[in-house]
Amino acid sequence: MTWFLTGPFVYAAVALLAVGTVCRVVAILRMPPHLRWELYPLPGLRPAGSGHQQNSPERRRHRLAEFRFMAEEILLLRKVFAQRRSLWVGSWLMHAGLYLGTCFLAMLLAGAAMTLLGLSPDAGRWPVARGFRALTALTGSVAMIAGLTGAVWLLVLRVTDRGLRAMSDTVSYFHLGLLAAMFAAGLAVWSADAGFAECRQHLASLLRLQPGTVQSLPLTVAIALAAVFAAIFPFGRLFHPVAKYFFYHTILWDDGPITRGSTKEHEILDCLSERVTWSAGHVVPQGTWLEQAQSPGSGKAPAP
Amino acid sequence: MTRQVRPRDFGDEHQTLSPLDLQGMPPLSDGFTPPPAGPPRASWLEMYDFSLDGFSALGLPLPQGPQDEEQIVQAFLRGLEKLFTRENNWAFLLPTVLCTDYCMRCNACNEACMIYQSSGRQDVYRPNFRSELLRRIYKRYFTRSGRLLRAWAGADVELNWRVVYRLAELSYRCTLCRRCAGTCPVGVDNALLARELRKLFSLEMGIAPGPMHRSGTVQHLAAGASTGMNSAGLRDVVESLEDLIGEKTGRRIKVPVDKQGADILLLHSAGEYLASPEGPAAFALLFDAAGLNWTLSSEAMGYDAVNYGVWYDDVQYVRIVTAQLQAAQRLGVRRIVIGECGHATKATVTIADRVALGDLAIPRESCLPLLEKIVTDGHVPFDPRRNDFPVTLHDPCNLVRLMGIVRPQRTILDRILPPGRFREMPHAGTENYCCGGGSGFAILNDRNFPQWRNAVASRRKAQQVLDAFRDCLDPSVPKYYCAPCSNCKASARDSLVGYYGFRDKYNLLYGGLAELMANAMADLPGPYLSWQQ
Repeated sequence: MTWFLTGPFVYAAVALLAVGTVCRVVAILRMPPHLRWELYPLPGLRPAGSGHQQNSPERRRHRLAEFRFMAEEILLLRKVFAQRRSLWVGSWLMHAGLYLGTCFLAMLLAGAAMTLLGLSPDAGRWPVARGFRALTALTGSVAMIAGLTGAVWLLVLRVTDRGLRAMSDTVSYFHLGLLAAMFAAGLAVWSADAGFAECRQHLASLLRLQPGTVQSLPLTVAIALAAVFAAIFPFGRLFHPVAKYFFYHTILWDDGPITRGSTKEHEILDCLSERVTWSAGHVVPQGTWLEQAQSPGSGKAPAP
Repeated sequence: MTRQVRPRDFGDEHQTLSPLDLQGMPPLSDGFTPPPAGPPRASWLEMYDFSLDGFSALGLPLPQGPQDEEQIVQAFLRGLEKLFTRENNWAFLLPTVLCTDYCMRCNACNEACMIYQSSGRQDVYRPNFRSELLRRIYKRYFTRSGRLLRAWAGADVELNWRVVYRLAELSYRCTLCRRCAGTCPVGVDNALLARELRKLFSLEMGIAPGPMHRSGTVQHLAAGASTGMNSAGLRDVVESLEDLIGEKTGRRIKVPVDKQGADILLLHSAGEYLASPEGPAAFALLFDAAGLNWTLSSEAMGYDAVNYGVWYDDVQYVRIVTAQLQAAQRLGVRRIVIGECGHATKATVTIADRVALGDLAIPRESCLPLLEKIVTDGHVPFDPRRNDFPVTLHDPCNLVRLMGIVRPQRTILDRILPPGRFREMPHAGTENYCCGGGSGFAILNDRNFPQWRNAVASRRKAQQVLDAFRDCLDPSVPKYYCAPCSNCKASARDSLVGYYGFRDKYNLLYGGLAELMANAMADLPGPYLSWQQ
């Protein structure tokens, strides 16, 4: 069981993460074009401001400002900070734990790759290897502490705050519980193996495609929970960091006017030939959107 | 503290799920507390559903037995399924899917919503409450995990007719101001989902407010204007505008109508001609003085800018905008300028951008940059001393937050007011609050809905006005609430003046920007504005 959870199950989780992410992104990219629905202020507007107040098609923006806005939003959660300070504390800690945890995983993988090349940070006596090992341990421990504190904070807030409790569903608690358990298991691993040596060795065995058997119970639990997190990431609201890109770049910040002969114009013309199946009396039955647009309607007033 | 209502409680058999106690709401800073609403009339209760909060925007007829109830549920499910299909909703499918899938239930949007805040934080008015219902119902009936795991998968709302009716009413407890969308860390737009729900109800179930649909878009398409005014009526109105200008200024100008090949077709909300003709008259005065090559149209669909479809029904929306553009095309104008009407500007300029293709792609713009140009290019002399009274500016959501038009109106005020007379409201610009009449609320006057609108939706605007004029509330000081939007002016008339009594208490005059500009025209013999109206 231990071997399965820390070996094949991890491979399956990584495969689900990769395939699920690609499928979700492709599904979003293949959505039909939507009508403009931007929201101001847009970051990076030049002094002339919105294209609508210039009366010209000139709508250039500073792309760097968009990048800066998004970086601040991702790293500092500025909007949550502005709206709910108590929520921000827990949310920022938990997200910091996830960001640092991702860095930690990357460092562990780098260490495992070095091990495969005969440059194991655990065996190395060079200052660089020792430094790398210490930095990995520091990143991991801070990630676990921040992530656990944040997840527990949010769980407590979700249970005690009247509004959050009312709006929470089972999945909200499940996600926070999973994250809290994953970070707690990571902390337990750290307390037993401050250098994360066994973890690095196991990752090396996974990279060799010859998964070994993990001896430590906390490490088994931590790996299994991390695998569960990775496996479900693309299939629900946990995917919001990726969706956020599309929310902002393709909806809220999309102020580009359509140009004649563009791909988007062709896509919209295709959509206008779709047949509408809405049932209300004022809709032309089975008419295309183009036919709906050119029809004055039945004039029938719906009930009441 | 009112009883807590969770999404899964939404179908409970309470006569009124979340009764709104108007007198329990915190008073405004001038001590105003809403008069008691009282229960709905017995005759209404026999006919219509009031079970959400004791108010009714839609006048939904009570079902007559289990068969009716089942039909309501089945029609709703059909519509919900169609809402997520390309053929029926390609125009908003991506935003709808993303907003449905990625809310983190953090409630950050709650603090931004004037309706939730003004109501004394009633659960059902949270901006994410109706979206959450939509998500849970969709998950429960259209996903495998929801069908199998129910509450364990977050799919814990069981449908019955009460859920459907209450959700229909709840979609008309949001003004679609999108202030909440600006605060969401992820980018979820609860106002968009409220609009999607309105679409579902209208397009599948034929449920829409009468003033918006029957005597709104249907009348607009049949008569040529939402007010029912025909071409002959428009010509009469133009004559009366010319008379009004003559009376106010001593000038006799000819308002151009149906001028082929004009540079500008000016489109006002047809309601303006009747409710506040001083606005269109001021435009005529300014355009004439500036020597612009412009015209009005007397062709059906060519003299009413409004498009109520943008609030509730994509089919009606696209019909109206297409007919408006065709009227402009036949007149051969170079561009369309939309008068002071926020939703019409957004509907015709922004949203139509990806619908008005080919020959219908006539350039379209808001009037505000053009008015700014009239003020800044120096052809028309303005004397700011003629506007020597305190003025505050309302930022219409559609123009400011949804289109980014923030600067032109401020440049104008800077040029036509003496120093120190303009005061911003708290939360000005893109962080503004809705007037309370947004998304059609200003025209919904059936049953007891106006009480709800004035007490809850317009409440924050009333407080903003009090804050803006806090140093000069004395009625001996005339003051001007400038709202460059037809809908926002209608809301000011009904709420600020009619309900909160600001005209009588504080000598507050409301009006548009063009009137204020006309009042500052240096070569007119006297003031254009009058506090004696």
